[in-house]
Amino acid sequence: MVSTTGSGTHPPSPDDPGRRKGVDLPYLTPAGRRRVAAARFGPDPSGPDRGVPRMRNAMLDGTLRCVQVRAAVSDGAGVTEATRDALDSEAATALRLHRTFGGTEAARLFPVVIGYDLDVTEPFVLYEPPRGNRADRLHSLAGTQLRTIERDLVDAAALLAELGLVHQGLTPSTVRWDGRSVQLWGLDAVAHTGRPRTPRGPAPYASPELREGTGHSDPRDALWSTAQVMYRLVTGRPGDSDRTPADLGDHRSLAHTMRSSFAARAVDRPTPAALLGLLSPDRHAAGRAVGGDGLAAHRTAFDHAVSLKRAAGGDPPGGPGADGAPHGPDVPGDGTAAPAGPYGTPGTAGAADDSGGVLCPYCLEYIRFDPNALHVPDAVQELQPYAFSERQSARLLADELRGAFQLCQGNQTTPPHHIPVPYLTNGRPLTVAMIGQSNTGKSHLLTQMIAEIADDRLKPYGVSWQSVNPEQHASFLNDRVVPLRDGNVIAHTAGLGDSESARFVESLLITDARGRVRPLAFFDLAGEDLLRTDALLRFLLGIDALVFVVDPTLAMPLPQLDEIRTALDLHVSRDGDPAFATALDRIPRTGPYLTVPSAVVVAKADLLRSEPPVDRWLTEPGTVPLSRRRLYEESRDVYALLHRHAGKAWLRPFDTALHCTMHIASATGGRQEDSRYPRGVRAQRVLEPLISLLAMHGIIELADGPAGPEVAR
Amino acid sequence: MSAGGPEESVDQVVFRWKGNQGRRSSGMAATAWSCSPERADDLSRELAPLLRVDGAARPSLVRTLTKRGEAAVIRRWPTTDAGGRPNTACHLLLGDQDLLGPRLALALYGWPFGSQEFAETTTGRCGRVEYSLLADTAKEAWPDTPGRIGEVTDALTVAVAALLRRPGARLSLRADSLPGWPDRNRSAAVIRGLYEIFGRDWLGQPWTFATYDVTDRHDLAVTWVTDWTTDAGHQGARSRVDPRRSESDFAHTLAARMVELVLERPVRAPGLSELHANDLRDAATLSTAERLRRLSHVLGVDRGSRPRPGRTEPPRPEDTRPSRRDDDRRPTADHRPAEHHPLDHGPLDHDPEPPSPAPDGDADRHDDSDDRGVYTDPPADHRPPPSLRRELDDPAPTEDVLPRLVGLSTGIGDGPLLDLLREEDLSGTATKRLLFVLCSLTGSRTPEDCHLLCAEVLRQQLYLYRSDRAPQGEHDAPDDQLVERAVWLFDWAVAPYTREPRHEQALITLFDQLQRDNSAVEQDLLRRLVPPPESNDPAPDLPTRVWQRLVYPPPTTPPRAQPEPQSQPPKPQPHPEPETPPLAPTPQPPTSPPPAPTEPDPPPITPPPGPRHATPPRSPRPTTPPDPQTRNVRLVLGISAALIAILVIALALA
Repeated sequence: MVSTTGSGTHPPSPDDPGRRKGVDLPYLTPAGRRRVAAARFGPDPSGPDRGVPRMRNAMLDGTLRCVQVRAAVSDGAGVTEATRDALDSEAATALRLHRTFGGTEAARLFPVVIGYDLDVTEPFVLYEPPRGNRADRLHSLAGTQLRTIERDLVDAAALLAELGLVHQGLTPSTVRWDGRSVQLWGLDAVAHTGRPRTPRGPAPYASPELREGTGHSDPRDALWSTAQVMYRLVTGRPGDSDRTPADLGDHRSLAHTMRSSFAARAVDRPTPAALLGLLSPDRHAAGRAVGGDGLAAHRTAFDHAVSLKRAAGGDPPGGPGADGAPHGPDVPGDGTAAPAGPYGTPGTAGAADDSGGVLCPYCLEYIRFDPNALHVPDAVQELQPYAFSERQSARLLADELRGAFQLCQGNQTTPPHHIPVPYLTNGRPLTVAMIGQSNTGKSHLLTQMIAEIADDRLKPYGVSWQSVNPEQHASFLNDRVVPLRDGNVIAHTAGLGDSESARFVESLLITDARGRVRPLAFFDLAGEDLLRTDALLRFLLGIDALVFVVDPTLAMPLPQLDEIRTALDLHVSRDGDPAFATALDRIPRTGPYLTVPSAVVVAKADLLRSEPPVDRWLTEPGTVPLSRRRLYEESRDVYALLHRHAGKAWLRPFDTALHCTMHIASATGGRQEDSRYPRGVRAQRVLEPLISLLAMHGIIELADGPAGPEVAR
Repeated sequence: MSAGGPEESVDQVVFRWKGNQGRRSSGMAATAWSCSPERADDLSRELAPLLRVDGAARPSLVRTLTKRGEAAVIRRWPTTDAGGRPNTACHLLLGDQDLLGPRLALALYGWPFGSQEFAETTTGRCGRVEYSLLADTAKEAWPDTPGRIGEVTDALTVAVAALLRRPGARLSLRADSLPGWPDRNRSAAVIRGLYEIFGRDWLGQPWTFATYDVTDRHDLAVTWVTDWTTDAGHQGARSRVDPRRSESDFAHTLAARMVELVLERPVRAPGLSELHANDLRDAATLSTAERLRRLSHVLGVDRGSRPRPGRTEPPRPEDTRPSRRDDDRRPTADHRPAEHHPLDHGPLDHDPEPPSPAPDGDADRHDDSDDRGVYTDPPADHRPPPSLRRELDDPAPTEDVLPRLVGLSTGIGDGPLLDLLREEDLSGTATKRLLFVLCSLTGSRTPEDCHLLCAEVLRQQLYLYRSDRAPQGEHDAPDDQLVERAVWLFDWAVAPYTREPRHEQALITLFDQLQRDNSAVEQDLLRRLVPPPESNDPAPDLPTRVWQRLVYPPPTTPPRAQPEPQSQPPKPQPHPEPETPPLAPTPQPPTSPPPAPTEPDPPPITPPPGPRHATPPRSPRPTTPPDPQTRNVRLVLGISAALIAILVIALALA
């Protein structure tokens, strides 16, 4: 979720006067600075819009020639989600390449980005004009030229591979040749390696696996395409779409270098780096020195933090074995026991006492189901004593109890209050608190979490759900989920008075794969209230899980966020979120680490979707089951991101909580304009933090490892 | 008043969403202030729940009290913050409760001196708001407001009934039930009506309210919402009421009558005077049944009554103007001095009459906190049985007129009888009859009613000047009869209660007046009430201050005269002095000896049982109104006693 109005200035449509006399075009430079140029545009290319970005010529300020690749509005319809995703990918790749290879010889292999803006009606990227000619228009190239093209294409694939990327749209139309070197366009088709392939690309340039959408993206996908492009350049005709060309032997040079790349399956091809080593040993060696996203050193800091935790008895994010390291002697390897560590048992809230009661989330006193203290809402929704009748049918009684509340007498500091009966009668509750100061995105994130649970997105993990209280759940859906999904910005969470106590905003009954039922309740307080040091935050003493929400506009001094900060009158805080500090200080611990399972979420990640590693994690498909390995990798990446840009204060939750994972998420997928999300709302990776917390509590079993440590027991 | 500020102004603070400013503040914060920034920050935290109305589609007005006891009046506008999220911009006025009373707050509903833009944009230090500006604004808004009460009689009746059932409970009302909703929000008119009916203190909770909110969770006496949800948190006592679903119970019947009353005389000190009858002063603490029983007694509404149809048309503006009689500037004595302000115990202080002056400078030392409930403005609409008035006025009474009057008066309570006594056209004879009736009912009177009667008798200066419609306004009886009646009245209606602090100032006023006036009647009465040292009569049991006043009378002032008409309305008094005790309407001084009685005094029937409180004997004063027959009896007795004495002496000498 992003909270500032977008620039609001849309690139002119083809029929705009901008084509003739120019318009002001705001855009961000690769460094993230806002610029405005007087732009004139050439005509759009003819042909149908196939859901891919279009390119047209442009002139900035009358002097700078460039091309604009944009997700164009067509036929009065909005930009499709696929086109927008493609442009997001293109921009992220272009910026990544610019930041990684800018100023080096390798930069010649890729388009040179001038600027971009992804939060407008027609998102776009500006490039310097393409060099040379498209490969499909080249004829009768000399052998030395062909060898250079071949080497450059393999070099580009190797460079992308080092960044974890693969170009899946390499065809004669995206390859340009200026007589000296190749320039590889079509960056919208660059994908992250390891992702499930989706069917794409024309034959014969897309590999059989890619066209069929089987397996996972592999850097070697690009070598199939390279081999096919080279065959086309050498022979003047397309090759075979499924196998090695029958006449490859007639072209000795091509056969010598690329034969193995014609293998139908990626695993049978060489890696780009290996092939580059064959084609150009010097360039291969140079490439080794370039790679990475600049976070390597910061990942080392993560490794150090994890080693400290492991020494204290904790697990790496994702649980034991997630990092591939051998388990320490004090960490149970099978995860079936409760490795609370040497500092006591975390998450006492909800734990049953000896008499079978549960901890009241409000007054922290144990409470048992008492049929003589039941209340039900009357006609005006006030809770009135409920006459428990044994003559009622069991079915009717169960339904009555579902909507009933039980009076909890509280204690000296907490006045009497009511607890939903299902909260008391369905096992050990699990309470989750959203932590972060005002406007950091807590409510939008939680709303989308609940929405995705309601959409049965926990089903793949064997978890089903029901509401704890049907009326309250319906209110939550009507008041928050529906408006947000309809594209409306939801309001701030109201503050609580001195005499009020924190209440959970939503609660669900979740049933795990073993059939165990537990109430799951969420606290979502206003950021102002989370800075209080009075009795209001006493509920934290019994909390079972924490979600720390990081607002990148407050945490990271990236220039592309300056505009938002200016609009909101915000400033980067090197001291971290004071709400984090308040919560971490308030929750008791018996050792150096907080033992309440925690998740740190960099929210509003759509703001950083062109920034590595956000670009990778934000676009992770939600259909992929979460695994310990991925939890570990994501935590490592996010830690490194915050370590590099935000500073240690923002990492305090991770460094303090013994069991903690870190995540990237966006609750809306884009920026609001005039209190609405004009391009719709799309939640991205909002459920993963909760899945991680449920795994830490043993409710979810992750795909690639033993049962998680049931740390709350 | 806010700390340190000039008393003629109140503080103002603007709140709106300010984003995150590190640890210093987060979210809603003060963005402009006239008080200290630290105080503004404190307020932003203390009032946080009231500063943001999630999802509110309309502006609203809130009056609440701070921990320091100040009144905070907050105007809230729905807005969109810099982040594009629905939010609230607030403009707050902060001042003493008496300055920012409920009436003033409600009169500021339109917030004409501020604007949403002001609340959305103002930053930094700003000036205090002159009280005169608020008063002028309220004055302009005032003429419409009472009239609007008439537009919401149904909702008002239901709300009144709910408070009669549970006076101490917070009231949550459905705004979508109001006429004109959602285009107009008339909730302020209902709150105004409630305040006019119940007054400041009767409900036993401070007058805090929100004209609109999305939750009724806040600790406000009255909140208007459009929806109710189940809230599992602690709520305290709360009545959720939908005016569209009125309960046809006795509380509703009584409420309908009370609404009628307030519509008939809307511009008075807040609070129906009927609620300050002795029986009802603390009725909010009674059981509902007992409370309704007593209220029905005072209102003259029995359980069989049906509520009269509500007024559907708002009263004409002229209906709401204060009548000359209603302009009595006497404060409602049930208000604590610290809470007083002209805007909240009178018709916005814009009526042409100046406040009644205290009899002297000492009066401002009087603590009237105990006066509550007995020295109220005289109510005028208790509707006693018409037959009673006919009997009282009967020019040719039969011998059983007094028993019949007693019979007619039994069970209707003092209220209607006192109202009759206050009627200016009541003849002297009828006054005497009525006083006899009241005396006869003493045994059945509760202590609080006794105090109410005492206050009324003192207010009316023992009915020494009640005329009998004589053309020249002369006394309707010989002076000695008037004095006798006054002494008789003092003995049973006042003397038992002179030690009550609440009557102290009224006693001082009475004796001051008797000392100032040198006419034979006053001098005679004074001697009878306070016998000279050489007399054998016991001295009355008076409080020390009254004695001090008798010994050190105030400087002689010119004889009482008609008050000078004041051409200019009085200026609002931002800092009212402690309330002076209520003064009786200035009576016309006698200008000539009273005429002879036109009819015989009431017959000397058996004296009613005396008051419960022991009083020093005042022999040989009569305890019934002296009349010729009584005097004859006394003469006979005196002669008999003399003869007996002579006989005893003779026997002794023999």
